[in-house]
Amino acid sequence: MTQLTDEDLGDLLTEAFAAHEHLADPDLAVAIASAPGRPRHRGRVLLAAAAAVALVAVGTSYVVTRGSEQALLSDPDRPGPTTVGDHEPPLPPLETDAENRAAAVREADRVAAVLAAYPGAHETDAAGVPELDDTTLSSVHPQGHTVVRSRFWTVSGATASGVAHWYAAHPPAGFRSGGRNAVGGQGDGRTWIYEVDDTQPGVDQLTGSGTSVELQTTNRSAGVGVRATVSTVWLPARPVASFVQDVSSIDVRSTHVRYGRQVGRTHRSFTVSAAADMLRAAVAFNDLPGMTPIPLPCPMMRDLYTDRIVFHTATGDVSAVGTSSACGSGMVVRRDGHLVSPQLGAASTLRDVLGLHH
Amino acid sequence: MSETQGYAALVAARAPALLRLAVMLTGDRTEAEDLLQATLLRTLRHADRIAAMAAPAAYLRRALVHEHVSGVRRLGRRVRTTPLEGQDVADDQTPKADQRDATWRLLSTLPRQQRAVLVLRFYEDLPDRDIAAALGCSEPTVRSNASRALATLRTRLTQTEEVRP
Repeated sequence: MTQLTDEDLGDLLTEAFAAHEHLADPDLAVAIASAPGRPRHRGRVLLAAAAAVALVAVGTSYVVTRGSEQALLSDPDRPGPTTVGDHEPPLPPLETDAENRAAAVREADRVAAVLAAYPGAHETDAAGVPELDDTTLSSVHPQGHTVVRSRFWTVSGATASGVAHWYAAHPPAGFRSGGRNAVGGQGDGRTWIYEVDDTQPGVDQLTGSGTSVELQTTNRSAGVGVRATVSTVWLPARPVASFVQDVSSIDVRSTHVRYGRQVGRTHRSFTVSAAADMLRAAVAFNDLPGMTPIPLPCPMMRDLYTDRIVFHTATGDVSAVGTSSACGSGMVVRRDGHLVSPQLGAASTLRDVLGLHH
Repeated sequence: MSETQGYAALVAARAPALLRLAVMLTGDRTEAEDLLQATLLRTLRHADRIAAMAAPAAYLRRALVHEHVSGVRRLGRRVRTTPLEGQDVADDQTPKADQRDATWRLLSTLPRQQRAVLVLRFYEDLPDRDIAAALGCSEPTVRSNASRALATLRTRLTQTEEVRP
């Protein structure tokens, strides 16, 4: 083990502390604070029951609007949770996984239906082109979050290379194939499969939602076999708990580690308290999409950014801890220390708003 | 709002942060809750004065740290419970995860004052001047404690790494 510097230890300590914040239950903290004069009983039920009365005098009602202790803290004499009034920012339209998946199914079906066929091609099914089975697919997509549709054709009087180049020149509307250099391929020593990938501009094919098309062609004993595979990735929906409203301040800590001959670290730490800035950050955070698991490892990590952003809100703290490298970025969200799935992607927009330009 | 009401609102607002700080100081969920409770009991008698302070949050933090470091709190030792940790942080797959967990465990071996210095410096991000104020000591003492604590952690982390099969 290499000798740890003070800075290394500082980083370890910061990480260790952050990783154990979940041990502090904020609901319980408020309950304790609301009944400091009472003997503290072992066990959450008794304490919460005592706090229910004390909270009336304190006037902090927001704690009862969330958490598993809502029933324990209910008190007929105490005002209920505030449900009226304007909250900033307004919550974006809520999604569900089922809706997102259904939309992906519709999109995959739509794209598959409009795929162009090579002139004179004869459509068949998977059994008609057994050389291009699922094991030959090159594209990697998030497991469990991808809708796949395939179509097959056979072509006579052409070569696999020629058919592949034709497809490269005729991507589906809204897609691009990479032009003249779009045709790649793979082989096992006996057969060669030509490949063309059609992608949607601006869509991160690794982690983002969107649709891609993988075209494959291969020479057969008679003619050419063609397979077109449409893959549409759908993003996991964010639950209500992962959004923030009524932010009172934002604590930001950012660490940039640059690897190489000399490892360099840069730390930044600040608090956002200006109302306009907090609102912009909250809007940016609420706009982040859910992220699907990254299916590929990241072998080259020259720069690693770790950001810890804590939104202090009227209903508790929401922390977002994100790492970003050349392979992408994601943020793990916790509300009051409890993990809130899914991770969030496209976090660079939030970093830009906070001035964490990477 | 009366000053007593102001105090109540203050501690309610600061309680989550104070409990987090207590967790970092004690390393234990239950002890942290006791520490917060004891601190608030102690400060309650000065509620009016605290509410009128220019920086009441800093005062509460100082009271919590003092309560912990001074060892005045004697609520009786009870069976120490070990929370089932790990699942909540299992998503964190950084290469330093093992070192981070070892660091957390080794913090419990440090004297309270040294641990408090590390918590205030690396968790609360306080400058030495404020750490000294929170602990009621001089800045050189803060630096000395930090240096010793880091040296101890460095040695023990190295030993931990070496004995691992």
